[in-house]
Amino acid sequence: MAVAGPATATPATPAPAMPAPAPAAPTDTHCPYCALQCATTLIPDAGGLRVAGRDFPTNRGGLCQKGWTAPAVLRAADRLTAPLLRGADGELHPASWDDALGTVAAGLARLQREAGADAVAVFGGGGLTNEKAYALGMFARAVLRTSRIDYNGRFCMSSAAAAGNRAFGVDRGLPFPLADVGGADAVLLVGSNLAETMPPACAHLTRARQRGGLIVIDPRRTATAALAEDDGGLHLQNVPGTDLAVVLGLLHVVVHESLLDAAYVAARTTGFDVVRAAVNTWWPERAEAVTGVPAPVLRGAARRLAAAAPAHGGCGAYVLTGRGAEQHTNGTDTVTACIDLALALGLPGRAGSGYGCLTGQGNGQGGREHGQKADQLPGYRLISDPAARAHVAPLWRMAPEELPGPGLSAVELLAAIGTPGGPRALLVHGSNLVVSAPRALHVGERLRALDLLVVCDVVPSETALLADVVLPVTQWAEEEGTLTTLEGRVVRRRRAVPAPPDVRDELAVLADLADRLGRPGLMPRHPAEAFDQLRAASAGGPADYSGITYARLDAGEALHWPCPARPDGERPHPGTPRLFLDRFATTDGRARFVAVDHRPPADDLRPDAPVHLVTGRVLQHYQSGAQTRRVDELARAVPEPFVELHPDLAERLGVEPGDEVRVRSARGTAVAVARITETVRPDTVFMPFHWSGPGSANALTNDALDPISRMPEFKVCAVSVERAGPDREAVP
Amino acid sequence: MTPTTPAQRIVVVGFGMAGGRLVDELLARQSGGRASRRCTVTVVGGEPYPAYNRVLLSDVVAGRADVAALALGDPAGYAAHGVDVRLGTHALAIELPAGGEAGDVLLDDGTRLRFDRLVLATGAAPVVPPLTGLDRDDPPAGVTTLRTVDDAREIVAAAANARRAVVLGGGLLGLEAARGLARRGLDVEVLHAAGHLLAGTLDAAGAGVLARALRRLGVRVRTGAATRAITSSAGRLTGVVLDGDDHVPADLLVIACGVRPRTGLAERAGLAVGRGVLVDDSLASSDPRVLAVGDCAEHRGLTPGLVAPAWEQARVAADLLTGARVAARYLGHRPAVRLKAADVEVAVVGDAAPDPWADEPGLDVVQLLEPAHGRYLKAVVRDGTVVGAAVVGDARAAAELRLLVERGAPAPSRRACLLLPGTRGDGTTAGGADDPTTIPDRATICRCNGVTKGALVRAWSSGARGTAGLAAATRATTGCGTCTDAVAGIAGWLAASDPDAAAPVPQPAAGSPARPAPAPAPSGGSR
Repeated sequence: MAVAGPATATPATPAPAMPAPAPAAPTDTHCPYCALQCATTLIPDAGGLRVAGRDFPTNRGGLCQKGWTAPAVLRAADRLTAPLLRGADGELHPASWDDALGTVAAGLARLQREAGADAVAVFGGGGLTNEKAYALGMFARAVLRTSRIDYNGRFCMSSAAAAGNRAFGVDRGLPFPLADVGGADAVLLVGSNLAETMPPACAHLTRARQRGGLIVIDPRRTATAALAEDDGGLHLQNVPGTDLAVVLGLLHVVVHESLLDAAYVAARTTGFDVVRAAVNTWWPERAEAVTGVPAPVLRGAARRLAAAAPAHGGCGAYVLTGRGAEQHTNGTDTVTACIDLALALGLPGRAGSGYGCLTGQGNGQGGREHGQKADQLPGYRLISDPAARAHVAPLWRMAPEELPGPGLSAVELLAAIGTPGGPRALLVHGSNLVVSAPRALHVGERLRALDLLVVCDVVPSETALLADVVLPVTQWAEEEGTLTTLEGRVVRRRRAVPAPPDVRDELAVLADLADRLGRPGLMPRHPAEAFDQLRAASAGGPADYSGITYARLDAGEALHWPCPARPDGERPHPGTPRLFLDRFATTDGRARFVAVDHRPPADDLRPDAPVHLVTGRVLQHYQSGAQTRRVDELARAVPEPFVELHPDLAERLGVEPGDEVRVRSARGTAVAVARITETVRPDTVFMPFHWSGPGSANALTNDALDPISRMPEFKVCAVSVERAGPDREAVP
Repeated sequence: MTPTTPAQRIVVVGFGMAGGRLVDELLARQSGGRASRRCTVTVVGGEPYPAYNRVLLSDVVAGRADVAALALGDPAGYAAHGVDVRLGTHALAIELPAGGEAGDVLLDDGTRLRFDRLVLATGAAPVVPPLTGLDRDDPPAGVTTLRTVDDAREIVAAAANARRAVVLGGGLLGLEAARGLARRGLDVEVLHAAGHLLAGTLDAAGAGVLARALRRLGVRVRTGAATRAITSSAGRLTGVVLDGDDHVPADLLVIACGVRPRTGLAERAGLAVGRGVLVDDSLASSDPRVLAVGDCAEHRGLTPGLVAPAWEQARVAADLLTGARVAARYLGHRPAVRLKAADVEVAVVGDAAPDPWADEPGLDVVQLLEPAHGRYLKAVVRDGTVVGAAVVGDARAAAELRLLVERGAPAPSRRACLLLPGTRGDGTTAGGADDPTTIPDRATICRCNGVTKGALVRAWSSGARGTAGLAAATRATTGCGTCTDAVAGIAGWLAASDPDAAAPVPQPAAGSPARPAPAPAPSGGSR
């Protein structure tokens, strides 16, 4: 795989002859990667761009290595600069936009004629701007009239979203500004490794660490868990797949040791009695037997958390979940237990305390609000809600009954390909799903079974390389738009350099396709136009953007949704940094306790698979690695996949550092280099998921789904591990 | 069976942890659509309360469980499913007509309940040894067992005024009660008839470590102490008398001498009874119309008296009664005990009995004894598999060894790692403000930007000075900020080792910010 040269080097291939743009002034924008959306300034420098950190509440001027090196992605040596069409020889060949779009439009029309509207499916991404996410949902429902659209956010945010909606009546990852966390005495992190996934966020944990209040639940002693060492707090190193039991154990202690905020529970919640009876069965010694977390540690953690709660005179406490808690077949229930714990302590809807989910992808928040999700319309409206359909349909110049209904969730959509009635064409935007989806080998097979695969991408990702048509599109510093950060704040992405000549914005691509598919002039062609439509479509919905304008954002206003439009002449709505201070978004205004119980992973240990596999990220790489693997500095830092093993396990298997090990699950096999470290439990191995090929972690992961959120169980499965390669020479 | 078949009438006698769980499991199968047979459920409970968590009673005594929050199950759910709950009612007799498919159970309120299946979940009763001066039906104030929520309430109430407590019996429950009373400020003595505590569970060495730990926490332990009598005055306890006539003054006596399965109802009905009601792997008694679960049941010669097997039995019984899983069987349970007492960690799981010196092929016993630190660890490996463990005084080892034994996990080749996991390895960490001179050059200082100590030294050599200069040149400290102390330490060390060096303008590294790196978040690093 070609990677970009160092910042000062001339790209090796002649094709992406980047024009020297030299805009007159530095451009204020945001990092292209995670949901922290660290503020940056892009400064023209030696024919390229240089990054400077910019003061902003989430990153306070700090950036991680990915952010500093982000301009290298703009100069990727294998940047796609022309549409590609698969020819009769089976190879991809450059083509004109006219030919490429013509092929796509003709193919889509033919397949829908033959097999109905649902023969075409759309797969979006949580990295797309709000404008693109909106346009994609609109294109699917109003142009293609297909119900089949879902997105890779299903793999990230769906469990927390389902639990948040169930408890609070609305899902905004952090219903408070991230900086609020910095004032708390205790922070419980459940399955979040933010020291690697969003390093600048660690600054907000300082106060809690100084008070011994950072409590981390994670099967690995991650960089984040290490922050709890040296009196920073507690690390609860549980058995993979048992987060729910850990939290139930904590909740048990809160209930039984009178640590409850009884006044809050009485005034602001419903359903506590059933939860109280349910957690009765999770006394710490029982939770210990399931989780491996010692009972006294559970008690200590619950007490520290409670001491920080306002009811006990503390300065505040937060419960925050990440993918480690959410990407399970019990992910929704695990988040629900975390919310139950936060409610019992009286945290949500109180300034300085709360529950939140740490959204992962750059626009993981906005991406889940504007219609890429199978059951949603813009503004976080439900597509099954007649009022929502009546609101949106006229904006798309159609009758409510013409809108399709809810479609299939991501894993189910992909699994349906090649089955009777399943999708025959798939449009992929902002997702490299043959690397990032669970049971990835199977996903590759499904994509090959399509009649037509169309991929919009920046570089020839593994998924693009399987496509029949590849459309080259703009990336972060080449485009305008908005993203919504993990705290529900809408920020502007701005263009700092022009895109290569034959590269197009996805909005224009969708508008052109609509023109060719019988809805000419329907789709917005420019970001500002798309945003104005989004505002109108979201007006009155849970995620109301109607009062947010590019002008207000460009003037530097910090606007968190909901931010409804107000009539002319009135002072504009200031946005809502903190939700739920007065009431929750439920019908009665109270948060709902929901009783849940632990259940083991779908693929649990057995004699022929006696080790847990957990997967995750490393600091230097992002998601499927399609961008970061092309940044020389990052690729050099972490060049290849690896398997972390505990010394006791390595010794039993005869594995030494640097050996290749073979990891097998019921779904596939991966081979990668061994790293031996005590940071992982002896019953567990860890693999990062940023690579395709023989070391692909997602060849192993399980596509079993959470029954509510349809989230696949990325975070735990059962594997066997052995040393790969020839026997070591016997030591004489 | 078809849906038109009349609903199967299930009567559960006993509404404790086993009976309550069984009702919950039956409802879960009905509402989850897994049941292939419709059922009506009646549950008869002798206590005036619905099912509650008996396991937590010793925690109530210790003041760390809320007696008002012990209820199990969901009363609204019972009502919604039409469960007939009869509290404060005892079953007097079971009638099992020969050749009939149904039977009757007679209650002490005169009711006769017809059943297709009866489940006995009558539990166990505390054993009260014969003591001179103790009328078991009318004990003096200050004498109680610890089996019911009323017992726990009584102990808590008595503890408010009592000063000296004696706990009769050094088993799990006795020790938990003793520790709990000590936490309430009472002077507590445990009288234990056997030679060491938890006899039959722990060996003498482990029990010795445990006894010492308890003494340090203010619980006196007397082993080999046979109690003969109690003394009382004006209806109040004043003490107990040991064989040999030692008198131990006390105003509270908790009798924790074990339990005996309640089998009278089954015996009177002619069912086969040993120590408990004899059941097979389907939890059926000698009459297929009657099942038994929990403490009252004897399966393969065992009456474990623990909640985990009882709940597993309830699960199997519910699977079979509802037809949700007709192949369900109860195959026994690995013994596992875990003491619930603050600052006293004891866990014994699986087969922890083998002697380290036993000369048996395939057997490997590792043991660690640290009386001065209150620690005792033992793991038993058979043919490479961890089959048993005993732990005193090490919560982490207790948690991990429990898991290994439960899973039948393969043992590490170095057996000592079972007791002291990760005793070697390359677990080097970096990022702390360690002594700058001893950190190796390749050690990563700033993880966010992959900056090694060597890179910082090279930046210094190129002219970068101070923390801000090193940050500008290498980007160290500009991510999460937690390495700021370490970088400052290295900057100081470099300055001290090269004090006369000129400080030229820092040269930015390729791709790094030219303007001085943003100051690390003000509160970001220093701890």
